[in-house]
Amino acid sequence: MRYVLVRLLQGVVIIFCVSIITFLLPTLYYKPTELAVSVLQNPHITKAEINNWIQVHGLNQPLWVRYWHWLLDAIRGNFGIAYKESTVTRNVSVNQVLNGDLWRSVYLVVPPTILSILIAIPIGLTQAVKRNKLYDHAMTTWIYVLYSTPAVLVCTLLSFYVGVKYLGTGTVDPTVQGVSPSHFPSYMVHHFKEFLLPFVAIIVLSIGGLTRYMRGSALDTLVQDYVRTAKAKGASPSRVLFRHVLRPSVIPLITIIGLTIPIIIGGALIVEAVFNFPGMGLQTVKSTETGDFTVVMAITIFTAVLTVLGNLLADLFTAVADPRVRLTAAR
Amino acid sequence: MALLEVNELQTTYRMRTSNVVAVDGVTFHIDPGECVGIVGESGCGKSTIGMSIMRLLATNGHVTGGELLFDGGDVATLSEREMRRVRGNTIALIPQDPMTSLHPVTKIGRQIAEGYRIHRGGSKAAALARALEVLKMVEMPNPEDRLAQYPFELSGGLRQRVMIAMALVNDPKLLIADEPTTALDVTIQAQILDVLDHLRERYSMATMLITHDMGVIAGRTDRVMVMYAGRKAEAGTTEEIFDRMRHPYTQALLSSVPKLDVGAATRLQSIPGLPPDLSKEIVGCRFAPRCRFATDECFQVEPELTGDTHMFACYHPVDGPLVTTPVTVRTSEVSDAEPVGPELLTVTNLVKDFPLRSTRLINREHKAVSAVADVSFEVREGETFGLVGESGCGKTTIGRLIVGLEEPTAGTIDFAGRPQGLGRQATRVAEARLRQMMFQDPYASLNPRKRVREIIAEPLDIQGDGNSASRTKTVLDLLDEVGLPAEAATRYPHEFSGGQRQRIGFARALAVRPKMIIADEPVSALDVSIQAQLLNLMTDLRTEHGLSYIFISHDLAVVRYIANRIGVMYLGKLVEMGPSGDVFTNPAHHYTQGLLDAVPIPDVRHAQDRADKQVRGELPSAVDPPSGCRFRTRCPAADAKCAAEVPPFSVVNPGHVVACHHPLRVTTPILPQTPEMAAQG
Repeated sequence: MRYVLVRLLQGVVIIFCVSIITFLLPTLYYKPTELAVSVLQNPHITKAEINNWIQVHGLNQPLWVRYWHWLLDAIRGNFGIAYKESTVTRNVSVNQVLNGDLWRSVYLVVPPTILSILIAIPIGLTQAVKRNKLYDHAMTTWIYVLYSTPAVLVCTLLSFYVGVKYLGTGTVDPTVQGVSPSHFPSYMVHHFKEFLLPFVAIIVLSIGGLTRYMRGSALDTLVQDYVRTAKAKGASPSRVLFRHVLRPSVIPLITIIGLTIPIIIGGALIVEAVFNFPGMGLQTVKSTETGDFTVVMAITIFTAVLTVLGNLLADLFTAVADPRVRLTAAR
Repeated sequence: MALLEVNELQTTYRMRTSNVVAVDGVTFHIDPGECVGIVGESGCGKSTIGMSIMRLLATNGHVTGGELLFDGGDVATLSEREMRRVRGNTIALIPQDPMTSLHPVTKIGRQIAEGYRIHRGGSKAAALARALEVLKMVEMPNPEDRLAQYPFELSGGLRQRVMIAMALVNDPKLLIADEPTTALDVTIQAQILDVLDHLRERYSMATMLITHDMGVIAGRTDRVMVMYAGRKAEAGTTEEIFDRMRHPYTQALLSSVPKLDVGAATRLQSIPGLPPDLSKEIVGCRFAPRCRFATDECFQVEPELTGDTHMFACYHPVDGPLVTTPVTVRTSEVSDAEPVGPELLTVTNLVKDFPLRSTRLINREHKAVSAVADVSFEVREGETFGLVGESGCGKTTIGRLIVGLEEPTAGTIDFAGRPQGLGRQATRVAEARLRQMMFQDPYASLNPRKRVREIIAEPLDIQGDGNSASRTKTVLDLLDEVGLPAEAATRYPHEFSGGQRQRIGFARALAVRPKMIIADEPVSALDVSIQAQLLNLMTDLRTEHGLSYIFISHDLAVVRYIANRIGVMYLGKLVEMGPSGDVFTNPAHHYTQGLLDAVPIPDVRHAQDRADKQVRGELPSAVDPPSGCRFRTRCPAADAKCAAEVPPFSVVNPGHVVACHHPLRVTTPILPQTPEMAAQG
């Protein structure tokens, strides 16, 4: 599978191009002098002090030099200083800001997404089998209701009417910020009540598209000749469904899921905002508001990497699941 | 006692606004060990009968009447669970299209073994062992390897063997073969039919062979039932049906099949009109609107089936096949071998390779599919050149190259003396006037969103001929010429049948009055009786407009009928070329002989004494074709020389050349000149 190497190479090129754009835009916008002023926060600051600060932070070098340094550092995982979080005495690195956020977002988003896939597949499949019957129409209506409700509304409703009333809390406990990544799973179990609603919210928000897609894919599969062959062999309906229809129907879904990986990490934004969960999404908003551009740059690059990886993984898993892709490419 | 007894079977499909009674009161039986053929054209209900017996109808199909007695019990009343015990167990199905009937992402061994495990239980190992056994029964080459392969790794013929194996795995009492060879090439078809024959002989399995091809029926069945419009038209032993048929439809059906020994001088008998609409109530005999012998009585009351073993339903039965006397239809007829005019199209050393993308980063292999490998021929004005070969031989690619849809990798195409394909867009548009194409698939070659008038007028539009009014007039003239009513111009393609759509395609090709029409399998998708209509039309218009045709087809009898000269292709190479009569009656190349042997002949006696020297094996890969003569891997006469040297053309007769080291006839070698010069004698 030299194919994988080619794709990785393509991915690197993409990320490279993204990095240039990502760097140029904010760097050109935020002038070094303004930065210095906001960080040092001294109303009587002198020009010399500003220039000194600029020099220390290397902000007076030519653009492409700064870019190069930034890129090299980024590859090694160092995304620079978060200027708006820093003070005159202490520099806060971007990594410090983002570190916890990343893991928290992953823990928040991945389990419910997996659950929604596991729920969407049987729903879509059974809908296709019972096409145009009551069950199909009922599920479609319900799914569309969920799909068209704005995310903010879903989250707020859940948080307020269910969370506050029955579970005692509508938001996540602020102590969550102090939990280290390795302890996170047990923390989630302990504070189950707080996590339940965000999970439900994410499931509700992602299940719509997946179900519709699965239904369409299953419908396409059900009319294929090989399904009739299976019936001609005397296979029972459940056997036909699980051994003959399921796998070909799910294969296209893999690609869809791969494409949504980057979205779910960064885009659980609304859920994080409503439930006050300190994750990547919330951090993106905060940093954008404060103009902490280095943080935003890091987040952007990270999203780009995820997109490329998500695509690649989707293709890889499709090859694993579908021998046609695997063997015909190699010949 | 009969194994299968079908009494007054009625099957209905519920459509949106009407019900189509696809099978209306059909009665027949099959005895153990017997092979019964059910013959008819598309829409006659033959496949529906098979599906009704298996209870595998589509969701809108229901058995609405009659009895289906199998082995004593009524299959129609069984519960679904009980029926599942029958399917794949005592009654097995061999479906039509092997390319789509196998599960794409499961290994073959497992797919075959599944049938065994469903009905007999047992371990995976035992089931796989049975799968291997059954693959050997169907004469699958390298059966052990196949178990772990996926369907897409196999060719059509091998896949059909897998389907047959799957059907056999539980020793069924009845095999229902629904058009088992329709989707396959002629030589592969012959192999598969032989496999079915051997199985029948050895295991005395009862078989129901459903097909539209009379030739397939002729040599392989004990009894035949001819269906028309959902009803039994005639039934009897195979010999009775072929030699002493009584129903006019059977007679007409047999006479519309082009035969290998009859050439272009005879007009094909076609059956005018179309089969009736089964969603409406039909009064009287269903065949009456198309029948030459119909009288008032026929339109009023439907005839009953008469006779005991040889049954038919007709008030005016015929007596045996139509005696066709070769009729000289045209005064200025185009005979078999005479040159008809100056050279119109000259193809010289044409090569077309389709490159394959290599998946490697370094050491990229530049492989390519060698679709056309050094082909040269010429076509004269007024001539019909038939290009024959099986799928993958490159004939369609040549057609596309001539029309300009593909660029040749090497070689030249000269039309009316001028080389084609060079030059800019304006030149190409002008070139398009000279040669037009007729496509194979009547359902895919017409834009479904355009009205017929737009479709036919489009070439005129592109060429900038006249104005809207004159174009409309041309369209109406063309519709008249191809036998369609003027109202057709305002309708959409989906409102027409396959045969009518091909006529529209033909009208479109004629629109700019080209000198040559390249017809790519124009009748392959049509029923025999409709096919005959179109072929007759093409022959008539050829004389009227002084057209030349390149007729590409895999159907030898059709090509024999319509072509003056024939080129036989195999894996990108022209192996034999000459006057159609000569090539087919005295072929010089082993492949041509093999093709002729493999063609199912709708004649009972000839079918049974066909020699067994068939073309063996499968088509080799076009990416890595065999060295020397490409046919040598399947040729009974191949030797070391064939592997070492590419055979040059040698002359059999003036105008007839062959490329073979050991041809079937005596040849004289060609001195250094190009094959076309030699072909001129």
